[in-house]
Order: sequence, then C-alpha cells, then structure tokens
Amino acid sequence: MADLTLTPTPHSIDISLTGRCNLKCKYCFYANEMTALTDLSTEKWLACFEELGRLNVMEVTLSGGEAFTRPDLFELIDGVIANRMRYSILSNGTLITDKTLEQFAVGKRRQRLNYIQISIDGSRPEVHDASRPNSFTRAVRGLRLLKEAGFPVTVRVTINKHNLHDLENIAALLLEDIGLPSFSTNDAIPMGSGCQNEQEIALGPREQLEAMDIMRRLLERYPGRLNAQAGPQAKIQMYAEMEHARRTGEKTTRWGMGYLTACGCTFSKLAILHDGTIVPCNMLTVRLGNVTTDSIREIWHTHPVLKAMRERRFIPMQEVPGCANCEWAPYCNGSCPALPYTLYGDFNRANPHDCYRRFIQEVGHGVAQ
Amino acid sequence: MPARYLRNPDIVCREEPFDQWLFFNPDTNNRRFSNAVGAAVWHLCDGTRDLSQIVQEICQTFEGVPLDDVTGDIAALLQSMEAEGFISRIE
Repeated sequence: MADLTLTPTPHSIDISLTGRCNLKCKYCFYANEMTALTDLSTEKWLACFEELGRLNVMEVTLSGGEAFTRPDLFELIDGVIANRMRYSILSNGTLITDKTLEQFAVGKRRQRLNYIQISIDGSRPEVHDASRPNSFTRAVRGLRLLKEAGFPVTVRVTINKHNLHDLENIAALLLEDIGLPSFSTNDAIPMGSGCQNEQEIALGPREQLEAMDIMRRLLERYPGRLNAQAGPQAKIQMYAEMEHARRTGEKTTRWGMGYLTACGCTFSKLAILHDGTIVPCNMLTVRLGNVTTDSIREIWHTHPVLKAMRERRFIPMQEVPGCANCEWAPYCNGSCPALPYTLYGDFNRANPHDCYRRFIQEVGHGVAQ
Repeated sequence: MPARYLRNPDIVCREEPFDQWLFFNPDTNNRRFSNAVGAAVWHLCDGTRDLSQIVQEICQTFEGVPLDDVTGDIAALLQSMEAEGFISRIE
C-alpha cells in the first residue's frame, strides 16, 4: 500500500452547532435520529475551539440544524476568532434581521467571515415552500439584508422535483433581481428526511437529465456565475468526461478515474456533530470519537475508519460490489460515499444516485447523444 | 538601534506535507507557503532579535549556510513577511 502523505492536522472543520432548526425541510440530511442528540454547551464548544486553535485549524463552517437558533452564536463566533480561525455560516436565512447584522459589526466578526450561505429553492413562495415549508419570504428578506449590507453572501439551490421547472426563474431572481455574483446548486438526495420523502422530492434519472439540460442553458446565459460540486450541474461535466475517456482512452486528470477516488475530504477536513461527535463528514456519520473526551489529533492520525476512507482511492471500481461488470467502471470514481454508507453501511461502494450506468438504462441514452 | 522583528500573534504557521510550511493570516485570508528556513525565521521573530541576530541563528541551525549568502535573502523575506502582515518591525 502506498504511503499517503497527510497534513499533520485538518485544515478545516465542519461544525453542526445545534440540532435545533426552525424549519422542517423535506430533504434535510440532518434529521431523524440526529435531532435526538443533545447540543454541546457554550463552554464545551469554546473548549473545542481552543483545541482547534492549538491544532492550527484555519477555518470552520458553522451550521446546524439552524445556527442562528443558538442564542450564544456570536459568543461562539468570538471563540472561533480568538483561536485564529476564519468561519462561514450555512443558514436557512429566516432568522437574519437588521439586529443580526448589527452583531456582526462587533470586533473581528465581519473581518473573519468567509461567507454566509443561504438556501433558496424557489423564485416564489409556492415553489420554495414546497421543500422548505413556510420560509420563502423570511429567507429572501434575510438574503436581501445581507446583500444590501455588503456581506459576503452566497446561495445554495437544492434542485428537487418541486423546483425543477423553476430553475430559470430562480437564477433570474438571484442573479438579476437580487444581484448576487453567483450561486451554487446540488440536488436532494435520499438521506435523512430526503429518505422518507424520496418519491416526492428526489430527482430520478429522467428528471436529472432534464435538470442537466436546464443547467446547461443557464450556464450559457450566465457564464461563470453558477457553481456545483454535486448534482445535475456537476454531472454535465462528469458524465461528459466519462464519455470522452471511454471514446478516446484519454482519462481526465481532474479526478481519478477507475478507482474509488471520490471525496478527498478526509485528507483535509473533519466534521463535528452538535453533541460533539467527531465524524468524517456531517453527511457520513461514522462515529470516530467525541470532542469532549477524545483527541482530534490522535483521531486524525490513527483512526482506522479515516485510514480506510483515505485508502478507498486504491480500490479499483471493478472490485466494488455491483460494479464488476460495468462498462463504465474504468471511468467512474464512485461518487460521494455518504449515500452508500447510509444505504448499505459500507462507504466502499458506489453511490447509486450518481450511477451513470443506471442513468443510461433509465433514460435510454448517455449525455453524448 | 537596528529594528527588531515580532511575529503577528494571530498568524497560523502550519507544517504541511513535502517539507512545506503554510503561513495563514486569518484577518486577510492570505496564505503563503514557505520552506523550513522561512518557518525558522518566522519563529525567531520574537521581538528581541534584529536582522543580524536572526541570520546568525539561522546559520547555526542550518549548517553549511554561508552568512554572506543568506543575509540578503533573509532581509528580503522579512520585508515581504512584514508587507503581508505576518510580522511587524519594532524600531
């Protein structure tokens, strides 16, 4: 086995500060059993941030639940700042008011803020609220407040069955009306609430294809202003590169084809759930320890689960269960391991939601045609 | 009295793979990679040392480094670190 060179400590940590949320979104992966856990106290989070400071962690992403439901949020942000870190916040935007913005003016809270990301799923209440109930007006108000006050604000649109035919209107709202420089997309996946609501919310292959066509048009209309690490927009390029590699034999150097290389997160980051549980990612909740009792440094260097996740990249796709006879295996990377772990209890499997073979079987053709 | 150099206490100096060091300024989000000599120079900026003292210590730590050769390099390094807010100068 090749020796992997690892950073001595993580660069960044994703932190779910609370399990509480004022919304009940239909695809929330942070739902069900997660909400049964108890939030860490202010003191315990501050002690955690001191450890992150000692580890020279550079940035944290604060989310929940909904981070703004914590009355001590700004005290916690000051703890992040005191320990030489920058931070970002992922929020539903509904609790952001003028008073919230005033609190960012204290000390270095504004200076150390990388961005606030707001989730917007529709251009109008009927669409947005279908997946994020009773929240459109407040979410857009929060977004506009941040934008008008000059905050570094971005938006994530989670593409789902309810907003598929509203994507062009959403882009117009965000880029033209509100005037954001850009926004990003992904799609609803069957995890957490999304598992119970899969039929209602998650895109099937035919809807994925339709979403890819729409996103292709939007990319032409708004060049350089739409981003995606996952979902239909990301698949436009990923599937095209797989087609190209199979046709020409030229494999992309952007990502490792033919091996379980998807997700390099465990080489640079970790996540902490709201009860202090340390996990590889807040979507891949294999318990590695708890910040109140365990050393993050030791877990980072010695935990067998992290070691196994880092070594996924040496597993040929042909050896992955269900992929042995797939003609796309030499060009695939298995995609995000969180869903297979949720479905099969095994992260060394391919993500069925992103499977190109399944996509072709159901749609009847590939993206090259 | 020659100027002495002091580390910015907010700067993060991380060891990285392949014998690299990463300086991170959380106030500006500026990141700069350096080698072990750069990291050693930064650590020597404790407010008590001037350029000649830093050069001397570096030459002692990294054997075989000729003093004349490194003085200009370290002076330039200190200048750029100061410009990027990683250290300050005490006159």
